[in-house]
Amino acid sequence: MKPKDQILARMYVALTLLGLAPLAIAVQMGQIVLTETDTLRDQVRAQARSSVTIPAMRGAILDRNGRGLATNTARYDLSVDPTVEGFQKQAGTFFDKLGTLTGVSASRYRRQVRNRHSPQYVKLREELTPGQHETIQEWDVPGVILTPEFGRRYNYGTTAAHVIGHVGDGGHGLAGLELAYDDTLTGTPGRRIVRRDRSGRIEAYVGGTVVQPERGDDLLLTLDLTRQAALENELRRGVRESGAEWGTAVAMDPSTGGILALANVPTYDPSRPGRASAAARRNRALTDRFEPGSTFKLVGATAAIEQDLVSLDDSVETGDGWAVFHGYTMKDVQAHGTISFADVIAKSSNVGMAKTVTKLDRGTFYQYARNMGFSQPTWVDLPGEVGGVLKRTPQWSATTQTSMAIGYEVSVTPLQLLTAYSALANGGLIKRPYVVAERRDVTGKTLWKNEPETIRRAFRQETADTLRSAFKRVVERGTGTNAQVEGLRVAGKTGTALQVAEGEYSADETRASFVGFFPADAPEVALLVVLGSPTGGPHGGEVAAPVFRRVARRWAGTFPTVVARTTPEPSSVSAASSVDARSPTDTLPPGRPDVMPDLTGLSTRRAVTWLRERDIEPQLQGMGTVVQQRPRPGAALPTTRVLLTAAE
Amino acid sequence: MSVIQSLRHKVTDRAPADKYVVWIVLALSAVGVVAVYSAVTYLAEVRAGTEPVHFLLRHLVRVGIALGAMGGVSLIDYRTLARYSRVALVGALLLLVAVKVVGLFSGGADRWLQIAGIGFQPSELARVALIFYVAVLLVKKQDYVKSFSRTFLPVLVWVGLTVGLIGLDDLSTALMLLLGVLLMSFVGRVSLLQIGGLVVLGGALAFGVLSTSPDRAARLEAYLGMNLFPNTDTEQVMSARGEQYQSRQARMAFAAGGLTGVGPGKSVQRDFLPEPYNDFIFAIIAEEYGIFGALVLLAGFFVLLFRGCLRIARDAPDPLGLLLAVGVTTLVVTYGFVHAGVASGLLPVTGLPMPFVSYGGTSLLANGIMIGVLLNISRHAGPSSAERI
Repeated sequence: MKPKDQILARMYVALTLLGLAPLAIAVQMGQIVLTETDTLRDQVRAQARSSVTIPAMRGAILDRNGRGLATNTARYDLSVDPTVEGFQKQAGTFFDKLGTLTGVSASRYRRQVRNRHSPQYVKLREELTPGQHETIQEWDVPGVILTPEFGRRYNYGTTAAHVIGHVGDGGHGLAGLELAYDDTLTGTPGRRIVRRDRSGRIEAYVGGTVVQPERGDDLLLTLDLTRQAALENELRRGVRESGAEWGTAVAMDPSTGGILALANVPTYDPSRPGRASAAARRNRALTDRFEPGSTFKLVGATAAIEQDLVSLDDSVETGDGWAVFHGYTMKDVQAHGTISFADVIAKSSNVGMAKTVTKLDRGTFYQYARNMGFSQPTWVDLPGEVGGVLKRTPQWSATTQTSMAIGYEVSVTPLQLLTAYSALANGGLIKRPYVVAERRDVTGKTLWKNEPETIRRAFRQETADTLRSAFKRVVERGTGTNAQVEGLRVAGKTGTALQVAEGEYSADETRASFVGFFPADAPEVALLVVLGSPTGGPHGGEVAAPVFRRVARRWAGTFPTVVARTTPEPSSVSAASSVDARSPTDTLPPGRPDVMPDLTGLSTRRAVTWLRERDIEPQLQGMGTVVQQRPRPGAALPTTRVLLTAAE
Repeated sequence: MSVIQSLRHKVTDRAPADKYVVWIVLALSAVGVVAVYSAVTYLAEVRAGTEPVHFLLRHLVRVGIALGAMGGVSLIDYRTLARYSRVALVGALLLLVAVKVVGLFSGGADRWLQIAGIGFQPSELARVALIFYVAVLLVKKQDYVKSFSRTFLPVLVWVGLTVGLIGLDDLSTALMLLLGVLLMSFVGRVSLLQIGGLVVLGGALAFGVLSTSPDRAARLEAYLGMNLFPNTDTEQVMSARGEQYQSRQARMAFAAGGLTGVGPGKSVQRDFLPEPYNDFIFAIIAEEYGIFGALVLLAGFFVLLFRGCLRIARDAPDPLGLLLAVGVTTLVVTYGFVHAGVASGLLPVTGLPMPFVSYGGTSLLANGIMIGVLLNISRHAGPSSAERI
């Protein structure tokens, strides 16, 4: 074979081998496409598409007059994509204008853009206000990206904190209405389908599906901001003056069950829940159980009257103020001798009430307590409510019935107690308490209205009518004279429960309470005030009743029907010695004190006048009643810069 | 008569270059420009402030230089070039050493040499020079071609030196070069026994490099699906970001493209494949133009192979032309086939550019020069050339 032929022959061999390569590649490609197309294409879609959530705006929480208690704030993050065409041309003026707008030097923004990590994205500033957002949008600079961040704003600070609750970082409710109505408030987040690359960077692309978010619904409450502020103000004062550890107060419309105001001391700032202790965040009105003491005498009185075992005028022998039941001695605060059953209630005689209740059989007494809602939750639309404890008759000891008659061996929540007294006020009906009156959509259209619910009739109308006069007498000349309000008839009951301290009931640790309603003959408001461990005097009549009186006085003017019923002259029974006769306008300290007084709850005119008289020119936001102040009460009295927030 | 003969001789000498090869190269370059433009979008996004157009223009300039070099070289007689092949090879080897030394001082293995701000890979120059010089050696030693000491050993020294230097940090290029030289030696009548020895040598070299580089070894293991070498972290390499990731992403590109493709510029996988404009341009073409588009591209290389061997090599006026044509053609075409094999998952993942299609300056230039040589050989072809030997 010639060399040339050998070379050519070997070349043909090599050529044949190489020619097989594209064949193998074609087979491989065909195999991929024929056998794996579906699974691989799914993987392509899965890795290249991504869905980005567009947050929905949370619904607002409004008081009964539509004032925003909890609203949303939109804050904007400013980013730029410096690669967008036209950005560089305007960059210079843009940075200058931005510097002026935000009060940061323009060179800092330039540096941020120059030193960016990602080529097409650099975040320049967070937390821009809507006003700044609008201004920047008007500049119309290409490549500028403004993304909203929704925040929750509690417009009146700590006001109604325990009702409203608060939200967590993710914008979801953690307490109060924010938690209970989270689904309603949250709305439906939207989403946008975006493209994603291998480093996880996301970009929107033309034709990608966008589902717009739906804003959450608003809640319209039964609460009134002005009354709430007044109640909080007075409760705070009551706690301070009595030296109590804590206090809680709830007011309810007895005819509907709608909660008019609910306050707790200590309270917390819902925009900074983390700074407050768990105790401060607790809504004691529904989460705390306590032995009610004399306020629970309502149950025994109702049962005894309705069962015809006693009438209000019947005499009850209370003797020297003590009696022995099954080896245990029961004492009155002072000896009353033989008094009418009405006075047993008015003077809060333990002996008289215990003796009367022993005439009832156990089952009947238990049934009345149960029917009045004790031991079951009230089903209020706030989270965290507890039921309380009411022993069943088989568990009763020999002394249980007499103890329960005066409010021991039973534990209740403040809200349960108020609901029971509301039944006395409305003629015997246990109402379900509620806070949310309406649900409204973003346009203000009512979507749902809460219909007042009656859970059951606890006792007869006539019983209520009969008993009411006895509870009026409590205020007129009994233990509750401190709850008297000029020109307004009030019915109520004091309560002083010894607290268990170190295994024994201690007279130093009490829970002082007053629960009542006004006007007594056509009740508009049922109000309960509980003070925990007051040091200024253990009795409900001494420390809780004055809070009730001051609240009633400040509230009376806000109810037209109550105003119409107010008698022009002070009631004849007003005992000047025990009643603090100062009008609310006199609660401000005279002269120039060292510290800021509590101005909340006052009319703005009063507050401003008081400050001006002391050469302080306050800044005022809003009109009507002061609901928030800065500095806080007790802070050093400043000479300048006092900020008052008011609402009508 | 003699005047006419001499004129005819001149005309034969300067006969037009092979049109098929020219058209195929132009077509490959055109496809490359379009595909690269689509594939660089991600790169442009990642590098701040650059538009894809910027990379397109760079690529166009490089293609222009490569095609210009091809045209220029096609005008220079390959026998003239052959005279300088030894000098060129020595120069290329020195450059390779220089790169190594510079790399040592600047800290970090580098395949690049910076000359006046232009990155340049000496390995590509060495590639061309070695093919040339091996062809020259083989032709020179045709009379005693089966001799081990007189033919095989000198060839082996040069090949070993070049492949070894390149293989230090670019194993795939070294192996491709070795394959090309082996094919040339085979065609150049070197004893099969000796070539077998060279294969063993290549295998040993490859194993040695693989054993010292766990990363490479793991890549091969990932491909084979078995544990071959000690001290490799195959699991890690087979993870989402490893070699398995690359071949899986490439398979996804083929599947996404299907038979007819998703359309020009609509590739999604370019965002996920590493260096889609270079190592995986075939996968991007398959995604955008489908299996049909990919087959047309392969057909281009196939035609180039047969045109280069069956027409240009066979009709070459002398053994040097023949061997050179075979060497150059097989080297260019096997690059294309191996690139496609890697992209389609037939071969283990390695970063080889597709000639005239991929984005990459030096390799474009080297391929341009090689095809230029091929074209020049085709100019000397004649019906009588077969008898001239």
